Amino acid sequence: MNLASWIVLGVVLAAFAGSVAFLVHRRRTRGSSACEGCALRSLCRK
Amino acid sequence: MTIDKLAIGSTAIIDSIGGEGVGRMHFLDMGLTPGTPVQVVSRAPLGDPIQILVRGYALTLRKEDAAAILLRPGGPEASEAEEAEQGDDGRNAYLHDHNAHPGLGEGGKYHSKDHENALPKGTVLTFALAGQQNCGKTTLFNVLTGSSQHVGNFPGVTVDRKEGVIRGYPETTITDLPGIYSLSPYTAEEVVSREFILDPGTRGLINIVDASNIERHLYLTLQLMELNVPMVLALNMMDEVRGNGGSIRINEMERILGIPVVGISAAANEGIDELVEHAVHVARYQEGPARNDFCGEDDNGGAVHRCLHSVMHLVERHAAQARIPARFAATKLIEGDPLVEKALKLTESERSTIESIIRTMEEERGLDRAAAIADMRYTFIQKLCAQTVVKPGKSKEYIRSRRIDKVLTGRWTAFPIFVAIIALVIWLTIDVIGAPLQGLLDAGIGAAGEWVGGMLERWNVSPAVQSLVVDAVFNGVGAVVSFVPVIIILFFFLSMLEDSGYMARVAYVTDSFLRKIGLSGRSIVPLLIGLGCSVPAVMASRTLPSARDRRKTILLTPFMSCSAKLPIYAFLSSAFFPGHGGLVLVCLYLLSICVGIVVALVGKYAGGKSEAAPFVLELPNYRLPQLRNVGHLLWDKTKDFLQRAFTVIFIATICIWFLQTFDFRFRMVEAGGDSMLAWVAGLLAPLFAPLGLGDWRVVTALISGFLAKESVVSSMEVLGVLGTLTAASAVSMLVFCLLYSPCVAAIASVKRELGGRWAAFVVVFQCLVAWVVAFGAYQLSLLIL
Repeated sequence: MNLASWIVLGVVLAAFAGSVAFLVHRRRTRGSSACEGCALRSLCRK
Repeated sequence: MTIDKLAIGSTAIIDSIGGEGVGRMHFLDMGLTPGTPVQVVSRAPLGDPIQILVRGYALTLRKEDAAAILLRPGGPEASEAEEAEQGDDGRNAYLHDHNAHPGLGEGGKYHSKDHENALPKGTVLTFALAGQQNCGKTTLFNVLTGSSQHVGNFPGVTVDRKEGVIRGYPETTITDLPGIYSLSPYTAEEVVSREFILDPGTRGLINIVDASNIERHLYLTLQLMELNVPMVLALNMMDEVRGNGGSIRINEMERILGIPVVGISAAANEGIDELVEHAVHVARYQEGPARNDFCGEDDNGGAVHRCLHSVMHLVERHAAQARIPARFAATKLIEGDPLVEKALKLTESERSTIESIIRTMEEERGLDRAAAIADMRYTFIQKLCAQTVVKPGKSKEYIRSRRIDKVLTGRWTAFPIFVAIIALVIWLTIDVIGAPLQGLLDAGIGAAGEWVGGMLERWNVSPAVQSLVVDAVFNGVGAVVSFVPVIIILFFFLSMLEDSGYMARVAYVTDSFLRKIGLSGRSIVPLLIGLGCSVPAVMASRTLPSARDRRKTILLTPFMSCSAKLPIYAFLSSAFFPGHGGLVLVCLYLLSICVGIVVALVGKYAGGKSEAAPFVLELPNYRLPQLRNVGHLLWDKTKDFLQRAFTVIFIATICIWFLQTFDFRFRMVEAGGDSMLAWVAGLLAPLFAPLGLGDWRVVTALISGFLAKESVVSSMEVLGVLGTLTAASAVSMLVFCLLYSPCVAAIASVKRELGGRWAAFVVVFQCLVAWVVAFGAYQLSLLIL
């Protein structure tokens, strides 16, 4: 593979890694801090 | 006589409320208390439910629920005369010695410095935004925080709790609670809302009410005041009240209630600064309501007053230990709230004393406990309104809505118009507007792909990397992105229907039919939202008060063909049935509805007979959809779709490209049949052979649909599936895609609402149903095509 191939492959792989990182980040940050300490959290369907 | 027997246009007075449990409590909370006049306005096309006018707003009830409400002859005049006989007993004697001006919050006059209880500087002021359904909470939340949460004209649009910071006040947070009618523990929303408000972390409460329907909305206000949390009352839609000739003496009202009252119009951004100023003040100085006693000593003989105060004294110590305000604890104990009773940890003798006090009250008052407490609150509200509210005449909006309803909910016109509207939405979305725009975008993406392919060729980029960029990224992801216009247009129409108030009418009109298949009229809203996306549709099922209806609706929602499947239909029909895309689509939608009905009927009979939950729905006035709201929603949906295209679908496409380009020794394969993917999909292929879909590439495309339905198209494009299909197997593929398991995001929603077992059931069950129906469709197609 020549240099151009490596560069293009690198760009696509970086985009791939970015997408995975974005999905993981979004999953972690979901949820409301308002639920913390709520006595009836188990009853809550939110 | 009962309400169901009352002729259209007739008025009578409620004598008593029969029934028991949640439904009965809900009727009382909604203002259907003994002595209240009701008028039957109309009946749904199939004769059930009934629309009634009570306390100035339109409410729908099923006939069997209405049969539990006993009436006595009389009209509004008789009721007013009774009220006049009772007279004003001076119960509203002012608790403050302020004069009318300056009132609370005017000219910097807020509170007595003697009782100042300021929070330390730097304390974060956490507010709860509470109010009944469809009173403009989310509109106010958006104005306060500058966010763009979805707003609709259907009771219960907010099904999730949202937080934000009030603009200009960085030390605040505000939480938009779901709409609730009371603080009774009958729905999870009510329990969670009251727990949130009572949490020591909550510093203040903004209670928003619809000023054009103030009596019923103040019912929740009184209960919130009993919680003794610093609060402000926001009278929303004041512009509408004024426009219809009404007015509210705000200073008088705040003096009687003992909380700051501010007239606002959230939609027009009026009065918001004053509201925030008051809210921040009461929270910072922890000024609780100056009044939380609403029972008059001489009201109807004073039985409720004596009972409440006796119970309050009895439970005072327990309430302090449980950190529940004594007044709230006492009313809830009398109403029979099991959660409060448990929290108070009463002794057996205390319980029996309280029971005896309540029984004495019931005998003296002539009403059962729940009705007596509801009546006490509404009596206070009536007197408050008599002193402070000049009721508007029948609003222009109401009169206009009644006229429109004569057609849209008319006996002979309702169903044809409903079908015509849905057909028009699909036709406009797919054929008229969506297809040309999609074609344009597709051509643009194709041209970009060719240009990039040419560049890569010139740079001598290796064939594998070229294939990765052109086949996977441009052809795969690009094929999905080109459907953005179709998705946006579908959501545009759905949000117009919801924002205008038509969705609530659809629930009203279809309730009778949906009950026959074991669902509720309210189920139609999640099902219609399911035409857009199953994830919000599953969440929207939270507006259903009954767990049974909720579960059934969630299980049926995936049978509604979501918009993510549109690209599959368009892709296959343009290849195999050119020029007949609209017809194919209508057939598919009809098939999904028919299969849904059959599944619902099977569920109804297999599940055995169980009591239907009451159907109580408020019909909002028709409104012109607000462009800003529709714009926000469309932006959200576009963003969400593009995010999915460049994350989940991009990842899935790259993985599929990798698996179908290399073998297990990571060597690039000459023919796709030697790839890793071909081997794995080949294991499952025999299962699909009876459907005419036995090729490994078809199976791969179907598997990728678990990640996101749009991936099916990109996979078909990357793998060249079209060459493996015949017209008959394309029909089979269309039917299987229509009915098989929803995507991972939708399954996760089902898991969140019903648990892992039901989520697994949905996957397996839908795949089975899809296989059986696709098999039938394939055999039929072999005979016809």
